[in-house]
Amino acid sequence: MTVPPFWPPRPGSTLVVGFGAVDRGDDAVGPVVARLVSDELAAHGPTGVQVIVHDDPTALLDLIEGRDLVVVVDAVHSGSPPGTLTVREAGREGRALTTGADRGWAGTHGLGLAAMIELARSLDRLPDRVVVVGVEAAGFEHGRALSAPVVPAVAVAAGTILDILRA
Amino acid sequence: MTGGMTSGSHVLSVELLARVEGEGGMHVHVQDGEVRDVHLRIFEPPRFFEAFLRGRAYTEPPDITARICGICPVAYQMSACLAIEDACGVTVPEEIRLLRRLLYCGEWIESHALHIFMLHAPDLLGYDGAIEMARDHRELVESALRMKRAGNDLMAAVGGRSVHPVNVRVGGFHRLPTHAELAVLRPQLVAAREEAIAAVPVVSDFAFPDFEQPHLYLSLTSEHGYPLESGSLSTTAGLTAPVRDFGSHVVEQHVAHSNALHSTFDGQPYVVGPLARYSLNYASLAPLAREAAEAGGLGPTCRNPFRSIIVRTVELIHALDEAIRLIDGWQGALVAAVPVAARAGEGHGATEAPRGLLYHRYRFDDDGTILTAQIVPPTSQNQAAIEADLRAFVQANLHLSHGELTHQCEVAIRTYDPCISCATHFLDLDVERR
Repeated sequence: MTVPPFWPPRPGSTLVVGFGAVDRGDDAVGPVVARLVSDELAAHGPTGVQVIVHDDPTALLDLIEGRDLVVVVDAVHSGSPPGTLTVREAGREGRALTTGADRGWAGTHGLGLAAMIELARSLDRLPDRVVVVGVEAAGFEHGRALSAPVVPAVAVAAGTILDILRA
Repeated sequence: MTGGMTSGSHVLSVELLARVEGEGGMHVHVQDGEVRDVHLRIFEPPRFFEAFLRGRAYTEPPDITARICGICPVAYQMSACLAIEDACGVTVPEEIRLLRRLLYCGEWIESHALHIFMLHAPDLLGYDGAIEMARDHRELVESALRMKRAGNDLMAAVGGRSVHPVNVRVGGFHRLPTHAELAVLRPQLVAAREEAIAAVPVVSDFAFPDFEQPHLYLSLTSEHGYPLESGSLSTTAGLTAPVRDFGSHVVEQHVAHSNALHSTFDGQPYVVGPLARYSLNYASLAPLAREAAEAGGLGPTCRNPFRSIIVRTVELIHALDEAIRLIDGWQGALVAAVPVAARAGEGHGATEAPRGLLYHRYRFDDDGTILTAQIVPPTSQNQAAIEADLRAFVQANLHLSHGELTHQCEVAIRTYDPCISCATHFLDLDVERR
């Protein structure tokens, strides 16, 4: 199943969004995992889950509007071994994320994924539950494919997301 | 550290600049009250793009170069299209030029709303960033997000996507938007225009440092109004020239401390971007935007980079007003694109990215294969002027504490809205006082 780059948000539904640029090495892991999740959902359910890929984290505020559960999957760079999976609860009840802006990790004009989640928290626009699934990246070079350590993490990340959706 | 730095050796350092596109830094060395060195250190991805464009087809640069930047992809697409069409001897119909201008308005709205309210305003209101500012100024941030969304939706309607649009091609567009798709955007754009006008007193009420830059200003000027999608070169020295003459005046050179190329115009540092555009095109602003400029305390020129937040707000109003005007006047087009046949030759294109003039040059084989490509983004062009400004700013403010001066340097750099992803890959600020 092909996931359109942008589906109009359907408030009330559960959202899975894979952030990243498909042609920048391991930055593609978010979209690749989202596509796998979409395929699995189409084959085995549950229904009522909207899956989106996007390459601009600043879109998050619009995408999460009216949702109860949002699962975000993105490449991360924390110093862990490439391919390492991290799962963080970041919704209303979750802990605040480190934006990394002071370390230059925050992406587009300092407004990366973590910054947008925290901005949503400041504006009281965060859904009850937001789960951030991060896959540690090895590199973000233009034109590169996923790195060898990240490839096996795709199925693991997709399985983790499906477990969350089916719980 | 407290007190000034008029004697001894000092280093001011910010490892990584926050709230700029990409990562990067700067090194300033102060010795016995004199600024010795100011180095902006940069790695520059567009150099790689220039290399891997060689051997590709003449139809590919709009999509490939759009990937250089997530904030200004339309600028890359537009400059690429103009350069390729110039080489192929094609001028697109007026309707396609108007649609390009409308798409470009979307990018300006999106980019300026982001920079004014989320990146620059926190400095002036005394916050570490937009997240902290949002707790106390929620309505300002909500308003900024609504304005940005108006730009995003315009980009999606005309460009197919709000980021890295996919609807642009050499000769025009893959698909024309329908009247209904454009009309539905109008109320949102009108509301955003009102919000931008309402923001003028907010952004002009800050205490701006008294600082003026002496540099040459370079911008496009255009018979079609305030420059976005086309125009000719114009400078504050009175020069006017066709875009093809860009290389006769602008010289790029390597400097030891940076991977990015520094540019000079006729041998001197120069500035592109909102201040240059505004100062060279004040008369072309929409009446509403000119009124806003006056209300914001601006004259027909502005040379204080710290006041660029007012100029960007004026340009935001202009872009919203222009988008509404273009939608109201949209008559449709006979074709979405005109044929552009390959031929050997060289072409030049320049448009006004939100951060300033973006120049592309391509040379093609007779089957349209790219032989050479040159991309000169705005932030690269501004590097020498940024360094010169920082040198003057630090020298004039050595009485400030180490921490305050470091902070002011970072603020000063952000006033340029540097897009280091376009010009660089990594930047960190390091001010050394010995």
